[in-house]
Amino acid sequence: MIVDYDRGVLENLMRIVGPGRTDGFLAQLARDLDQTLTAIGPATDRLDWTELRRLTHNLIALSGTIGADRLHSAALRMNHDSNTENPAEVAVSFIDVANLTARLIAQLQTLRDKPTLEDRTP
Amino acid sequence: MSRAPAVRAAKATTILLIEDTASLQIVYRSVLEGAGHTVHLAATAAEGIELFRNLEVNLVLLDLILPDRDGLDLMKDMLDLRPGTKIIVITANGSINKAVEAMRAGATEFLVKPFDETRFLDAVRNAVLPIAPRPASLRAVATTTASPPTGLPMQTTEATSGTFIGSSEPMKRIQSKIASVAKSMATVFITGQSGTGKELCALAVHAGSNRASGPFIALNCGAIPQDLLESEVFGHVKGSFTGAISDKPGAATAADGGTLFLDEICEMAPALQTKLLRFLQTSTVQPVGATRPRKVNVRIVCATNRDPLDAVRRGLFREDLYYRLFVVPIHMPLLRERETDVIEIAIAALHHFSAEEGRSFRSLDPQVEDLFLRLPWPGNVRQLLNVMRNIVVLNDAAVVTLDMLPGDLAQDASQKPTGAPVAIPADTGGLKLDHLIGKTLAEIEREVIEASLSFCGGSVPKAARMLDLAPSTLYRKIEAWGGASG
Repeated sequence: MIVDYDRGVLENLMRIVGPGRTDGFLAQLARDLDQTLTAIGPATDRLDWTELRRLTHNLIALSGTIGADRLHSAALRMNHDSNTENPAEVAVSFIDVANLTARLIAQLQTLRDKPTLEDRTP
Repeated sequence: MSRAPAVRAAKATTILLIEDTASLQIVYRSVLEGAGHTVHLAATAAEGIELFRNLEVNLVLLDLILPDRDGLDLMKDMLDLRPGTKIIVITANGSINKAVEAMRAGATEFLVKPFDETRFLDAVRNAVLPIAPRPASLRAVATTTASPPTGLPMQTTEATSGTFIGSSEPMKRIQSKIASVAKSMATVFITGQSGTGKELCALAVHAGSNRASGPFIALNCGAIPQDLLESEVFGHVKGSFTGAISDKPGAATAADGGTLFLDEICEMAPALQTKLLRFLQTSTVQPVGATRPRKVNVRIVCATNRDPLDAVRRGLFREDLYYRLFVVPIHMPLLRERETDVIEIAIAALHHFSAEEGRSFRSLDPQVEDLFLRLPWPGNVRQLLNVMRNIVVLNDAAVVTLDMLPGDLAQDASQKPTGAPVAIPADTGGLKLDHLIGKTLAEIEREVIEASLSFCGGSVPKAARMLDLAPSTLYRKIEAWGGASG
């Protein structure tokens, strides 16, 4: 299965966190992405630049940490558009960010549903 | 975050981690606890300041973008409460400007997300590492490597006290900036024309820092042939190249626990700029020919008399290195912009040189003071000191009078101030070429280069600038003549 994150990077993170806490970590990762995705749509509609800067900052950090390069690039673009307060560009970059974030959440969910750590090794 | 070899903290550190993203909290906490540190967590600025008030923490890791408050404001509050606190700010790529702002406001270091485990733990270790006293041998390295600072003859005392002579507004602002930045690990980038006291400023930053007891190593990047510069900065191991007859610690290693001053940074070759950037990112040095890198704890201060941004635009200086170094800029004013400082410096120098030379000078005649205030001083403080030395050596009296001044000074007084770092003499009646006829082009070139060097007081970098050559080219030519004549 083709995934949007870097398998090696995520494997390292799971080892750093430790086998006993992997479940919680993956669930939290998906939850953080989901909360950001939920908030970023209304913030884009409101053109709430401060909130958009904060949310895209979160996405840059989250996607970068697990090597999700496409989402990372899209989040950087949207962060730039938020910093320059460009309504047209931010609306365009939001579409990419929303699609890629939703897909990444689904992929993390699939990974979390696997029964053992070995099975989960990306 | 990539996995590094198991790294254990030499000493457990109590860390306050202020990060609002829960999954990142888990990762950072795991890495820190895995290295033996104690971690207290806060997800908001309000929780963070509360914990900071109630806990004794060695280090704060602070995300600059928080849900309830700007991280930079929070950092300022923490530093107001406990000024010596070590704070590493964490940010994402899109807000590097904010991180730079944080460094200027007193942060110890900044990390850009995502970062790998090694970089993360290195930053923590460097932030809390006590500054080790340096062995005498390294001080000797510092002494031999350091070039003579530009400033007053009593520079050691001045540097120790972190002050310059001069009470003008521009210098008050500089002293205040030095006092603010000295205690931080932030890189200081000093700009200013030749002779304005850039190295003295670097010394003052070092002297005011908590690494003042460590070495201050000055390296002039424009005065060392480019092919030797890597070895000078990072050192080499015996046998790594022809002439490497023994291991040599580079300036970066010699500066461990202290300050490395890289003068004329814009003259550094592009290949070495890449290595310097790597050094700044990892705090490790790998001597030429060595198989393993070595950790060092060095604060970087650099200087140039060029416009660094212009060097970036022209492709001579790496943009990423520029942003890494240009954290706290300090611009040294021209002497003629420093109001009556010229008189204060002249009198201080007069007393110092008089004591050294056994003369009885005490003051300046009002006419001399008036002239000094009108002069353009193209060579800045260095020129003034040379003038004062000249007066003291060739004369002896209580008061310096106009007739004691070097002949060319009065002529300078009538010149308009110029922005050029080196004053070019006016054409005096047409260039005489007769004596060049019959000589080869190589001989003429040598004559022009030698005359330029003489005009620039023997400074190869200055002569190179005047001739629009790379200093390394000029060095090669000089070395070639040495071989031919010797």
